[in-house]
Amino acid sequence: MTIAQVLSAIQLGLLYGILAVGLYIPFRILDIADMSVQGTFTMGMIIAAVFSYNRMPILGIVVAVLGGAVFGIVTGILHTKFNIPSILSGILTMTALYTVNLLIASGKANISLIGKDTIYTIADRLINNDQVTRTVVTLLIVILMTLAIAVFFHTRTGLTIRATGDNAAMVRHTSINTDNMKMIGLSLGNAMAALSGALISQYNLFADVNSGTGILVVALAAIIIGETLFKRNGVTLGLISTVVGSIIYRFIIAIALKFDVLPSYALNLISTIIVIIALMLPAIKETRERKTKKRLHQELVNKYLNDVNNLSAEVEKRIPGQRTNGKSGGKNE
Amino acid sequence: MNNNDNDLMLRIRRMTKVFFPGTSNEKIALNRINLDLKKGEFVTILGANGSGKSTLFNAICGTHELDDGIIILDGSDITWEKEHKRALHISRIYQDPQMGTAPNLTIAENLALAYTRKASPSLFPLNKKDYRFFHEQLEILEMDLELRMNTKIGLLSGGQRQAVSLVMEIISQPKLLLLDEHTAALDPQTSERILDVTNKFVRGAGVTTMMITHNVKDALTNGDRTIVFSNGKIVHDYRGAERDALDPNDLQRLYG
Repeated sequence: MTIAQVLSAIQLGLLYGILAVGLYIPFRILDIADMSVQGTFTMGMIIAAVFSYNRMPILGIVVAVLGGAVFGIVTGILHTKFNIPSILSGILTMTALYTVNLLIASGKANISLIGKDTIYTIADRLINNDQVTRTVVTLLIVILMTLAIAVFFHTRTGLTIRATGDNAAMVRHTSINTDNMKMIGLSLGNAMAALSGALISQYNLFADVNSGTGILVVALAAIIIGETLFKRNGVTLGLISTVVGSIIYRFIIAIALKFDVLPSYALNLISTIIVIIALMLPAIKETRERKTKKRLHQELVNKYLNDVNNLSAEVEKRIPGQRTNGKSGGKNE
Repeated sequence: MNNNDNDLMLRIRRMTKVFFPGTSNEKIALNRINLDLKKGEFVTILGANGSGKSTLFNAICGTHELDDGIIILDGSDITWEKEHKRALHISRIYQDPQMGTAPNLTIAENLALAYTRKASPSLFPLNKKDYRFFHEQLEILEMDLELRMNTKIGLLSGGQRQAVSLVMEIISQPKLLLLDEHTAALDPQTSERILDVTNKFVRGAGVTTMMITHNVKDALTNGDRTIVFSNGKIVHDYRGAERDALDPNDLQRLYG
């Protein structure tokens, strides 16, 4: 891989990492698989593109984020106030957003921003190096976002949202309206999805109403890869591992496409396979561990079958943690 | 009469709840219940399965809405108030230790969540002052949980989780504490320990408490009044000398 390719993988990984964080909040923190993220991601793209086209790139990003937040609340209202299952609420919002996005784009399916100002071209006037600008600006936004969200989830409201995903009944008994907490979480998630879309349209100088197709699996891949590598461990680490997972995913895609085995339109298939493999790993690992244990056990039994005393002595040797049998008086339990 | 009313924490009149009305499965779970609880009173509740004890708790908490009747808590009518609103003043601990705590949050975070009702509004829930307060409260349990405040609740045993639930409910300073067989899932020693702590907390805070139990001895040795449910009605209400004179074996026959 050339340096340009490595940088581009990192940049895209960071940009889609924002989307992955947008899915992580409802999916892992609230335990809601929020499909509306696909619609708000595209909406972010379109809004930012329309504003950039009219020479307001920064305002475009802000409006995109607000728009995402609003439609997150729409999903939240459908789900909590009208008791529509969360999956269905997400699908409804996502489908409705397709039309909304076309409306925002005045009926056009795509918008080109070539020759227009974006957050990147503005920053580049200071830095004067395209690749450096793209990396630095994106990295800065991702760091700020991750930091802000991590801090938010340690505030009172943030703690309550986490608890709502963990044990909603208990939170209600704490006299807190769990509906509102779900709504805040969904709104934040969709705002991040829209931010991701907004930045990507300015990064690519292009926005298309169909860009959302398959995007959920991309976000899911980032979350799963992050969790496979770093385990599930708290919100802050969860957010960081999701972004890192997104970057790793981009490298996998870059390498997969480099070998030219599959055409570039096979991207969604590759993404799906990556997610499936990552999801299969724990089960495969478990089966293999069990087989190994069984094999070792079988060898032992075959060897000492007629000598049970020796057999038990051999087993004793194998029990982990027993070797350091000294009375250290360490922690109990 | 009015003076007398001020001493009452809970007043229930004609509380009625019918499940599956109009069908062959119709069940009158609560049949015109009247019940008054004085401030600081600790009442134990006995009754066979299906006699209406838990339905009473569900109705007071707002889990079930009443078909008829009035619930007045500390002078204000809460009959149609939403569940989470009432929870501001009513705390409940369930039989299942899983129910009262969030497993993936730490002990400190769970306590902070419960304390949100009463804590001074601050942006971050785990400030030094609150942390010290939680530490003190956990010390009362004498279970060394104050040394493990950053442990996830999910890693604790059932008894430990129930103990934390108890602290959570007490620090939220409820007007009414409902204990729904909260020691039934625990081993005898732990159960006794939790009951000890319950008494310590309830008496210490002077909180009005109702405790459902199937253990007749526990029902008579704890608290200052015992009521017995049967078929959706209160059939006995023992207190004072009459209660002291009761033989657990006699009461046991009520289950027959």
